[in-house]
Amino acid sequence: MHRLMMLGLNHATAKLDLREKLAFDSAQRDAALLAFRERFANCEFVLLSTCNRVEVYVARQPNHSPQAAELTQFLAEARGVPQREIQGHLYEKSQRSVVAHLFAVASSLDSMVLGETQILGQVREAYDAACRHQTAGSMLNPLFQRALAVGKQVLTETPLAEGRLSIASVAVDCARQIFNTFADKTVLSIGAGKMASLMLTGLAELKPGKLLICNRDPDKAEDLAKKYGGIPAAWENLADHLTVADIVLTSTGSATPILSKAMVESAMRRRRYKPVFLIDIAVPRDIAADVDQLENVYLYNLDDLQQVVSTTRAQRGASLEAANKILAEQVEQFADWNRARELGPLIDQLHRRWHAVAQEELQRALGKLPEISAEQRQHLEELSRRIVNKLLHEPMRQLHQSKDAHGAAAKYLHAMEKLFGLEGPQDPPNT
Amino acid sequence: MAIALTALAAIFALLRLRKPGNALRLAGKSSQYWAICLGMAALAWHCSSRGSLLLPEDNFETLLALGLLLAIFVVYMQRVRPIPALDLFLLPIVALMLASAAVFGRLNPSTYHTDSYWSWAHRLSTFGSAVAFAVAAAGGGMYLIASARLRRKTPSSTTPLGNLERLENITHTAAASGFAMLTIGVITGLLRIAQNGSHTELGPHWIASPKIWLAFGVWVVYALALHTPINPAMRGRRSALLSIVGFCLMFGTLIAVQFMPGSH
Repeated sequence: MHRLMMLGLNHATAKLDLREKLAFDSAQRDAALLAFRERFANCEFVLLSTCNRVEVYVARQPNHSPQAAELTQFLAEARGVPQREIQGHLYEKSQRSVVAHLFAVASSLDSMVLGETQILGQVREAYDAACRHQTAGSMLNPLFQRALAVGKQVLTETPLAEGRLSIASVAVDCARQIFNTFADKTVLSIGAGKMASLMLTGLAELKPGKLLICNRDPDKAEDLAKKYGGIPAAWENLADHLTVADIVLTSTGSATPILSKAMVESAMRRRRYKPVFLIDIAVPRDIAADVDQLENVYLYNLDDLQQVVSTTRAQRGASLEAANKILAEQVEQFADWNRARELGPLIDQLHRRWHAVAQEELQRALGKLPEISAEQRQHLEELSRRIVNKLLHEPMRQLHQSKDAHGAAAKYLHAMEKLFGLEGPQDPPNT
Repeated sequence: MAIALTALAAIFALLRLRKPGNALRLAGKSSQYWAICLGMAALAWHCSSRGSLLLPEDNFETLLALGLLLAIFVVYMQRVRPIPALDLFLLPIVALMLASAAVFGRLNPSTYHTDSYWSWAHRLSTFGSAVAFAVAAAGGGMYLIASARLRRKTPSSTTPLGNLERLENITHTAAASGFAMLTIGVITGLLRIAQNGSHTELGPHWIASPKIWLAFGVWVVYALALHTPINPAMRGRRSALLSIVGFCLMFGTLIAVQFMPGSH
């Protein structure tokens, strides 16, 4: 039997500077999964790292490692962050609340931007990575598969995604509060990844006069430029592009800031202090935080944009209610399903064990009664079976009726395993 | 009555900024229109009572005409290219000018001396610059608030003040027009002095008059505010702030001269 737990931090508990320190890129995540498998054998592990959250989902044997403290240590070591720096920002959940939390995450209900669809892809990516490295097993597999299905259901069946105020739309709104016309403006995208593409779709609404795409890989820049009718710009001339750009979008995977205060200051001087709108959606950030101090520079990072978006949360009451209803039902269904899955093999094992004991004793008794007729023999066999069934009836009924599979039932199951020396179901992990 | 209605229109503008609604918009507009009508009626009555429709002849007419010009500018702007918060920023200035007309028109209703065409040109250009500076100050104030909102990362799409680029343009255009008119006002004022010597209202010691120094101060402030083509570091918030400082000085000058004997 397995216990389910999770540990992590998100936009609500940690600021961007801490989140970016703890964020895992795909290579770092793969390394962490391998390290985890090596360190905690027989455990299941999924690592979800997005710009808004870093969370680890674990399924382990009861009272076995890793405990929360070990997971904290593991995370801190994996990213080279002092443990004390993250400790106060972490939250921890176990059993049923893990299921509820993961379902909420996949449905974007735990996101800053309600109704955002990107999180679903990120959960899938985290799960796929765990599958590739065989750190997701029979407990986390169904959990994540169900979470993905629930996320999809919430985003398609509720108006949450329809009326979503995306980061891009907030950026467009901010740009409109800075600039009056856009036909004479230049947009510069530093980075040509998926995020840049998503943002440019939104910014295209402004119909800027010129769009420059600057990327380390010129092929990618060219592809994106083709898609949005822009011009690929050489990475080496970034400082020059910065001088002509009125709106700068950064979304690279660089570990250190690409635009420093000195660089932006110099560009501002050359562009005669015309206002510039900098949108930094990269984690870790591409633009140094102190750039915000410069006159006529309006710098918005991911947190700032999401903060604006989150103010619309209150306006989405009805959609939220519908989404929460789906979530509550799905958590309940998963709990029922999982309980049935765990109870079945255990009950079967218990029945077989006790009937075997009864049969053993019956055979011993029959051996002492050689004169017994076939009919009497049948009666005795029936008697032993009925006794076993009656003895097991009440505990089984209690188990079936314990609604909370992650609470009482899980405790009962664990107690039964211990008391009756059962090895647990064939399918090892459970909730 | 016109003062009360203008103040009411400003309150409606404030309420509308917090909670947009058609009823508030209509109430604000009707208050403003009635204030303009009543103000014009008062001005017409005052002019006709002295037997001439030429403006301005005394403090009351000057301040009232300035207030009305500004109120008409607000109406014009809100019809042509509306900025939701413009009413809120300009109508209090209109109310202040109308109130000043009421107070100073009664306390010090001195009639102006019109000794030459330079006097007319001097008055028209300086009063015109006051209106332009009021617009520049309103634009500057809105710019500062809008910029602060953006810097605080709390941009508001429901209560927009106008975008920074447009506000900067308005401030700059108004300040440039005001500056040009003020320059004409200063030059025509000097020409009057040159023409009349020590016989102007300022007397033989005109150079020591606070009016001259205040007007010079306003001129310097706006010269700095309009400095952006030469020194672009002055653009944005600094320029907006200077527009407000300049208007305060200008309005201060208008009020201060009311307390100077024969100094109009």
